[in-house]
Parts: sequence; C-alpha cells; structure tokens
Amino acid sequence: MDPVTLVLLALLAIFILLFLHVPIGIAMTAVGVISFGVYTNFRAAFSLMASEPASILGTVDISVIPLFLLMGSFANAGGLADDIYRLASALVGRVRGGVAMATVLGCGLFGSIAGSSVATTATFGTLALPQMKERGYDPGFAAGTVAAGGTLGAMVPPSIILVVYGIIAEQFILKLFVAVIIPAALAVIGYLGAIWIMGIVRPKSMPDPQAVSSGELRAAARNCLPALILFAIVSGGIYGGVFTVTEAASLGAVTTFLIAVMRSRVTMAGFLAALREAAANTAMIYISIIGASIMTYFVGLTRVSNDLAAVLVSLDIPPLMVIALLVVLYLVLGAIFDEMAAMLITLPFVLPVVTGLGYDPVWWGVVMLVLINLGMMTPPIGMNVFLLNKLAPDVGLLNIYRGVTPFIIADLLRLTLLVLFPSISLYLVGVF
Amino acid sequence: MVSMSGLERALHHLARLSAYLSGLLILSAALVTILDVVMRSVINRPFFGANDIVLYLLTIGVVGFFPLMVDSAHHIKIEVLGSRLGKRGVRLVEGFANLVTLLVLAGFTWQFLLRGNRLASFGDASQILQLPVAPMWWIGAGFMALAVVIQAVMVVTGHSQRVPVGQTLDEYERRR
Repeated sequence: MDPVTLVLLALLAIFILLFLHVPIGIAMTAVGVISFGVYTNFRAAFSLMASEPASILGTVDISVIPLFLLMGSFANAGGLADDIYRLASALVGRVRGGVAMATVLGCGLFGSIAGSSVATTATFGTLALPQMKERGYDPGFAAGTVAAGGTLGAMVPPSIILVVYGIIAEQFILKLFVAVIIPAALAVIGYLGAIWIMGIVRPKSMPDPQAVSSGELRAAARNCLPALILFAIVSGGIYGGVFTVTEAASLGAVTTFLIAVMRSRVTMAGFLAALREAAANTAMIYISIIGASIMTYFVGLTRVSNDLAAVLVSLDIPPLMVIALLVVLYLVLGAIFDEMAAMLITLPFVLPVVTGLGYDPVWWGVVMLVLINLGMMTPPIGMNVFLLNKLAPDVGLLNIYRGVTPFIIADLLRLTLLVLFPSISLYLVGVF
Repeated sequence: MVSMSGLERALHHLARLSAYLSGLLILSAALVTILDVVMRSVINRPFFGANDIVLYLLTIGVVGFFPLMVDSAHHIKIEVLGSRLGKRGVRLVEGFANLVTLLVLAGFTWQFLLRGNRLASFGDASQILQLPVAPMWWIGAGFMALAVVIQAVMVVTGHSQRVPVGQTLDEYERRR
C-alpha cells in the first residue's frame, strides 16, 4: 500500500475508533501499531509498544507531569486557592467588576501552581462562583468569568498541555514556558478588559463596587504567603535560572504537600483523594502521549507530512494562509473533539507542515495552547462550560455560553495577534 | 446499576493500593531530586546516582498509576454519539471500546515483559549505580498485568460504570 493511502486510512481509523468511545491513547496506539506493521513488519510494530514507552518514561522532562499534577492536587487540598482568591478580592474588590477581576487574577495565580485548566475551573467554580452570585453578579456572566479564568490554569506556566506538546514536538519545555509568558499576560489583560467593557455596556450584569479595608487586605496577604512563596519557588526558580523545570516541579510538589500538612488543612482521606486524582490524570496523559508518539513515529517514517509541506511550499501559497486554514481547522475540530485530543491526533501530521513552512515549533505550541483554551469555552463541547454547568446547573448551559462570549472575543483577538506577530511569543525566548 | 462482585472489589482495592504506593515512589523521586540540588549547592557535591534512582522510581511509579486509570475508566474519550445510540447501542459501543482497550493493554504487558527479558539477557544496567534495569520492566509488566485483569473483568461483566477517582467505594455505593 502506498504511504499516502496508508496514512489517510490510519487517520480515518483513529476517528472511527474515537467515535466508538475508544480512549484516545488506546486508539492511537492500536492504529499506529497496525499501520506500522502493514508498512514494515509486525514484529517491529509490536516492539514499538515497549520502545516508545521506554523513551517517554526515560525522558527527564516528562517527569514534571506527575510532579506538577501532585502539586496542583495538594494545593487544592491545602486550601491555597481560597487564600489566593481572598487576596485577589481584597486587591481589586473596590473597582467595578472587582470580584470578577479577582476571579481572573486568582485563576491566573492558582494556574501557576495547578497547571491545568479543568482543575482551576473546578476549584474556582466551587470557590468564586457562589460568592459572585451572592454579591449580585449575573449568574451567566459569573459562570462565564470562571470558565474563562479557568483556562489560565493551562495558559500560565507550568502548563501540562505545553509539557505534552513539548514531548511530542521534541521541544525544550523551558523554551515553551518562556514563550507563553507574554501571551498569558495578554490573556489576563484581555479578560480584565472584557470585564471592564461589560461593566460599561451591561452595568446590570454586576453589582456596585464595595470598599475593602486595609486590615482585610493585610490579613489576606498574610494568609496568602505560603501560596506566594510557592509561586516564587516554582516560577521564580524556573525563570531565574535557579532550578531546572524538573527540580522546580519536585520542590513544588514536596513544598505544597508540606504546606498542606503543616496547616492541618488536609486529612488522610483528602490526601489520598488528591493522590488518586493526580495518579489517574498522570496515567491518562502518559497513555495519550505514548499513543501519539507511536503515531508520530509511523507518520514520520512514511514522510507523508514532510512531502505535504514540500508540496505546499512549491505551490506558492502564502504560509500565513496555510496557518490561517490550520487555525480554522482546529476551531472546527474543537467543535467536535476535545482540543487536547485534537492536538494529539493532528500533531504528527501538522507539525512537519508548520515547520516546513518556516515557522518556529515553539510559536506553534503557543498557538495550539490558545486554540485548546478557546475550545474549552466554545460550543458545542466547551469542557470548562460543561464543568460549570455540572457545578451550578441552575445557571443553565446557554446562559454560561452567553456569559463567556466577551472572553471568547478577547481570546480571538489575542489569537489573531499571536498568529500575525509570532515575535510576541518568541521575543522572550531570544532574551532568556 | 449492578453491584460489584468480590473479585471486582478486590481488584478495585488493589488498583488503589498500587496508585498509593506509586504516588509515594514519585514523591520519593522528588525528594531525591531536591536532595541532589541541596547537596550540589551546599557542599558542592552531587547526590551520587541521583538520576538513576529518580529514573527507576519514576518509571515504576508512573506505570503503577495505570491500574487506577483503568479501574476508574479515567480516559480522554470523545462521547459524541452518547445517548443518541440508546441503551443497547451504548452498551455495544462501550463493550467494543473496552475490548480494544483490553487488547492494547495486553500488548503493552507482553512487550514490557519481553523488554525486561531482553535487557536481562544483555545484562543492561543503569549508568552510574549499575542497577539492573530489567526488574524495572518486569515490575512495570506486573502493574500492566493488573490493569489487564481489571479491564478483562470489565469486558466480561460489561460493568462500564466505575468508581470515580474522587470517591471511595463506600461513598460511591451510598450515592447510588
């Protein structure tokens, strides 16, 4: 069978298996091994089921996944999110839309500890949403704010999605973390701007601001000290060049555990639940990476993606148009699939095309992350929106989608900027 | 909803136990890494063989999480068809997905075991401490075999509803 037909059939088979509820990592492994077997021989194909896990498990960079997941779970169990939210509320609570802004800032800071969008949304969905509703925010807008703020969990380093991208795309994790600093800051500014504009356009969607005493601010800052120390250790350590990403992750996981134990906030049952959550998520991500890596190996061997990139280059289509088409493709795919799944399935095919057109894989990682985050909020499968609908069913799915619309617009603007000006992402990579 | 048999309960507890032990291994790997950083910066000497120990602990630790993932059916899945299929349709699709998962997990177990045997026959060892690496893969194969057994029971019984990771078995049964 010629390689192009085989690769197309493999892609089709993955989609069919996914529609039949087969987990993504399992589907990609099954299709990757069978396709590789057809292309070469089955003895070599089956051996991929040990050699690929071996190379993934032996990669030091990937070990940050269980460590960051443990850190996020312990931070949650230790009540650090609560402290962060209180401090953010005390800081910006006095301006119009202040509590909503505090939710965004709190999500951003918690994201620097949690590393995951779903974890941040779930945490702030139970923490901030009831408070915003109680203070008179429009429930749909309040839930939309949490859904958008939750995406900062994946946007602000350490981001698990970026680590996964880095492993599959074979890019340095630190470079990706550096590249995402400005886009993450733009995300926060964009969301704060969206809240500010909503306060002007639809003033009834939020209550009048409330004054915060300096005593409250001091108390909130004092309580938040452990979270700030943790932030300084992890982010400061990584960007300051004091620790490698793995060392910072190790220190973060152990420090968070100690903070939780010392504050007596975590019971044995809570500790075990946090451990289980991190464990199941780790295995789920690893099996997906192993599946994607087997597929990448097969597609790389056929050189179909490289040939496709060469054809695109020879056709004289402006590279930006190809990128724009890919972005639209991901937005469409995101309407059907979970975006992480979309990234894992398509990366083996798309990345050689992107790099073949002369684009930096680090920049593409940032674009992919923004696309994944957009998909977390957009219908019909907006994971964060679904999660909030589960946490607060009284708000209604449609109202949450309405509430998250201003943030989606902010993200689309940011995506356009990042695609048109890759230097926004790459500037700091050159400086570090 | 169907209640769990004694075998299913035993496997459920084993999966959780392996996750707890693996979690401790990963925390130990983190401690070794920290110790290495401290020793390098304070006494200007590295922790001898830290990388070998961390690799060992992390490999076994991560694979030890797989039985829990299988036991709680904690996967990235796209359930687009969902309820549109009807009860019988969902059962059929889930049964098929469970069978494919079982075959792939069995494939991993088989290959992990073969890799362990091959490394043992070559006498492969870690770089610094010269720890034999074959046992790492045999232990990994053992954890994968537990995942295979859990998945096989799921295929045979058709019990796709699992205890979520956030709940204990007692909590799950009380809420049912």
